[in-house]
Amino acid sequence: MPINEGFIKEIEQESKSAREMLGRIPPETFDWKPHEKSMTMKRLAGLVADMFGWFQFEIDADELDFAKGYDMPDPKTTAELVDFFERRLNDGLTSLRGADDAKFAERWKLRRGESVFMETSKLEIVRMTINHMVHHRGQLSVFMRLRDIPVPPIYGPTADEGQM
Amino acid sequence: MSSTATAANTIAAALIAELENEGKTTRTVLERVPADKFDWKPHEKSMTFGRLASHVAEMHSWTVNTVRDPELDFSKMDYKPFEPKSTGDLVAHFEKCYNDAIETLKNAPDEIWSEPWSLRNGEQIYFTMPKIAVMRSMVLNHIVHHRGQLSVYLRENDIPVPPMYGPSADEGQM
Repeated sequence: MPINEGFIKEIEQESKSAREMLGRIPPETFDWKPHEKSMTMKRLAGLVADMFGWFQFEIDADELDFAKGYDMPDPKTTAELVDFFERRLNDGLTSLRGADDAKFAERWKLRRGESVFMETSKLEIVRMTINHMVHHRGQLSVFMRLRDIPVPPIYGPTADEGQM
Repeated sequence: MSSTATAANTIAAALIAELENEGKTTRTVLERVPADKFDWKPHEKSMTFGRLASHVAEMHSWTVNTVRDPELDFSKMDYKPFEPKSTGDLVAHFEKCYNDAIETLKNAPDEIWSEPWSLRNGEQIYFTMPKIAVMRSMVLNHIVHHRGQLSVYLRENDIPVPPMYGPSADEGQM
């Protein structure tokens, strides 16, 4: 199986619970955060919604330079949040669909101007981005629970739904 | 790629490299879970701190069932959740489950990953997927998911969150 096919299947699978979760986050909780050092619900949900779009600059570009700025989403409604997720997922999947195996051996850098934080292969950065998204989606599930928003099944049932 | 890669187990070698990389963060997170908070939970419906941390540790050993067996049948299982008495217990259990996973992967040839694997409860089959999808999703991503939850538990208890994929508000600022 070509490398991109495995990734695309996995991303489509992991998107199901992300989509379900994002669709449940009411705008009145957007500015809430569980701790003064935490991200707000909007920031965390926006990050989860954005991350599968990162494949676009991981595949089609050879670096991300923070010095050039990076816009985070600023949804006003749940529908805007979900629309943003769908658009970014589509961006990411489009880039992955066009990537042959040789593409994944190319190098990729994370930098801020002269300072290079990470240099790795495109294979590894795509892998890491999936894990990174799963990490923040896990955090989001606790944020939801703390606001009494039912948590949908993710890898199995939750205390709210999907009992086997 | 791990140095254990051979022509016959290149898939496992990539999985080992990933487990080793993620394992560093997981170890640091578990080392910070204090025993006097094992019974704490952020919400009445949540897992306790100790249970969630133990779950993150024990999930590593699911690698063994995934590679060795064609299925996991809840009706035949005698599952006793691990109950640590101390942070040291918790970390030691993680090391054991983690090492079992690495050793199992070292001996897993590429051809096993396309074999089907089922999760069932007697007659009822919840899903059947290729072993690679089970390992990828139900083991590795599942660990990262619960470890992400654990990072919120740390924060809620004013325990510094280590860098995970990048800096946290506590550590690792670039």
